[in-house]
Amino acid sequence: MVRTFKSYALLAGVAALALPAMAQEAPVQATSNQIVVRDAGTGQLRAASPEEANTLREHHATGRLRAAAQSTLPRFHASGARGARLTDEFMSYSVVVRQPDGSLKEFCFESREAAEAALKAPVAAPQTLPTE
Amino acid sequence: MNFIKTSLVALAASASLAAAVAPAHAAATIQITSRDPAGVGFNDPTPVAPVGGNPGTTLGEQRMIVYRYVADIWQAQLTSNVTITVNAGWEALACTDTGATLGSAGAWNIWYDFANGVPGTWYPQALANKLAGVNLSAGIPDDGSGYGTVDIKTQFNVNLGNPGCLTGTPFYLGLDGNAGSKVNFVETLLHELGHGLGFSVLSVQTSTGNRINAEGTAYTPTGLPSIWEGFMYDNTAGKTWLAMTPTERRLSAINPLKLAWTGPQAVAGALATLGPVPTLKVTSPAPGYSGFYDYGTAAFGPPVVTQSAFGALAVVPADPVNGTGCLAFNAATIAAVSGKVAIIDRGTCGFAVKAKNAQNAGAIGVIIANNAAGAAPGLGGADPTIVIPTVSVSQADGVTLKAGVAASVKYGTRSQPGAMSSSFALDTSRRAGADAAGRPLLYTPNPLVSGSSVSHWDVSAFPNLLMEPNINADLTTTLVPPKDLTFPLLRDIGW
Repeated sequence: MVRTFKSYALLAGVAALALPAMAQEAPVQATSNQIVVRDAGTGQLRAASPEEANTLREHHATGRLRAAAQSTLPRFHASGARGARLTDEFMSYSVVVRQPDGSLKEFCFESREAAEAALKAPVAAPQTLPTE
Repeated sequence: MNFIKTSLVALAASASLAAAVAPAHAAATIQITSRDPAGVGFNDPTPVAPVGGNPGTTLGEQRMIVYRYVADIWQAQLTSNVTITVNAGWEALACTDTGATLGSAGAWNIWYDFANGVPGTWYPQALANKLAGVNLSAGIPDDGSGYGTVDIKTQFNVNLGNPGCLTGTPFYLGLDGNAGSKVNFVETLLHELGHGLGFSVLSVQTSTGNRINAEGTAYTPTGLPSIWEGFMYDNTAGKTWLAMTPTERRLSAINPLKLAWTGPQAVAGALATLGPVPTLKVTSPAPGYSGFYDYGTAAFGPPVVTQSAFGALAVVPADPVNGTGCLAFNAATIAAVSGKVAIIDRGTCGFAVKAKNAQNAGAIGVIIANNAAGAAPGLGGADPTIVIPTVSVSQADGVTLKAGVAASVKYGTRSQPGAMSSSFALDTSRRAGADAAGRPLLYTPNPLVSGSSVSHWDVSAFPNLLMEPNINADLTTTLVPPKDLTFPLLRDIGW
């Protein structure tokens, strides 16, 4: 199942920011004041404009991230290590489906979409085998 | 509002629970924090009776005791100087009356280029912290969620068992494995925490073969590899995922029974854990035909009994007009198959139709020979009147078996022609769930099965393993050989 990085635009009239959440957390060390955005036009990371940076800070301040995280966040460590905070798109999902004979069958999937699809179309049931 | 608190704090008020929730003496410490609001999830005050060794007296307490119990199992195996952090919540997840998303879990932060790690390689944070010897997320401001820097995020379905959510079948919160008709929460959580600790290809999108880039922002063809990939060896391609292009990785993810794990801990563990392969054993007086043949099973008829006789083999003649075995057998075929196992080519009509015609002709079993390349297929269909066992073999094996039946005849006498006999046996030269070299196989079904591929052991493993995509009812809570291969794999990647 395809996992995607979700994005949304922050500023009307400005190039859409593919990864706004990247800038919502200050890097740990020397780059702590650096706020970067992905330019929707070029696809490249660049320093945020003052307007974009203010919008991102305001966005952070409103606490809208208390909802499920929609974008990854970059991580930096003084040692030079780099990282990312992931999103629910990267989680593994357990699903249980009652089989025609009444028994339960439990599966593990690598995406929410796959898990929810399994609820609609139970997998690995005998009926899914070829019959001729 | 989020209510963040450790499991120990949450339960400290209940002195009677202290012994049950205190972390066991271990070389690692797993800290569980709850994000549930008052009255919900871990804080659900609904009175319950103690069950299966779980002494909690409210639903919330019992839930946390299971978390602590499972965390203790994990931390008894793991070693780390850095506390492993798990955030947990009970939420309303997708449900139907007959099914439900039980929950989810995974590494919430990932890292590369830290001390003692393989350079340029993604690791889950809990393992990265262990190897680096420091908490890489220390000092990083929270993202507003209250759990932005934890190692593992988990959530489970707060409504399971309620009307409309697998109605009447809640989680079993006992610790003794006696889940009965309920969903065993211990096994489910044990499995999901395994993914969060590192039992996952993590940063590779299996549907494309692309990897998460160095910025951590997107799957790209030039992204960084996961620590898993150096251990993922495709027997067809003859190389690991580390050396593959994205297209090669995508194809490897749907290369059934060919993707092996080469880590020395898991390979050694497989030898001690995985059993011999159930197989169809055939004996012929003619040279070149005796041996072990892989088989598929049928959804109809009685189940195959391993280590039991099947019978002498006979061939149902090909019928290109009506389909082999699709009509009632004629007198000659009845004479040939009566009291024997009938080999019938696949095609034209249902497997169950062929089996029923063979049964009516006096056959004591049926082998369906596939009519296309590939492994022996599973046989679907239904007919409750079929009382003889039916199995399948691959097209190539079907050709061999049919030739063997013909070749065997001359080794008998005119009154007693030679015959091939068959039985269900165990091939002790192979391990169920391992490749020919004894390396455990990863799950690579074709087509890709709804995202459950690669980050699990293959379903051919026997006995069943905790980290197969199907969470089976016969699992234990042991993570090491000779019961299980979960921890050996984690040791291979650095635990």
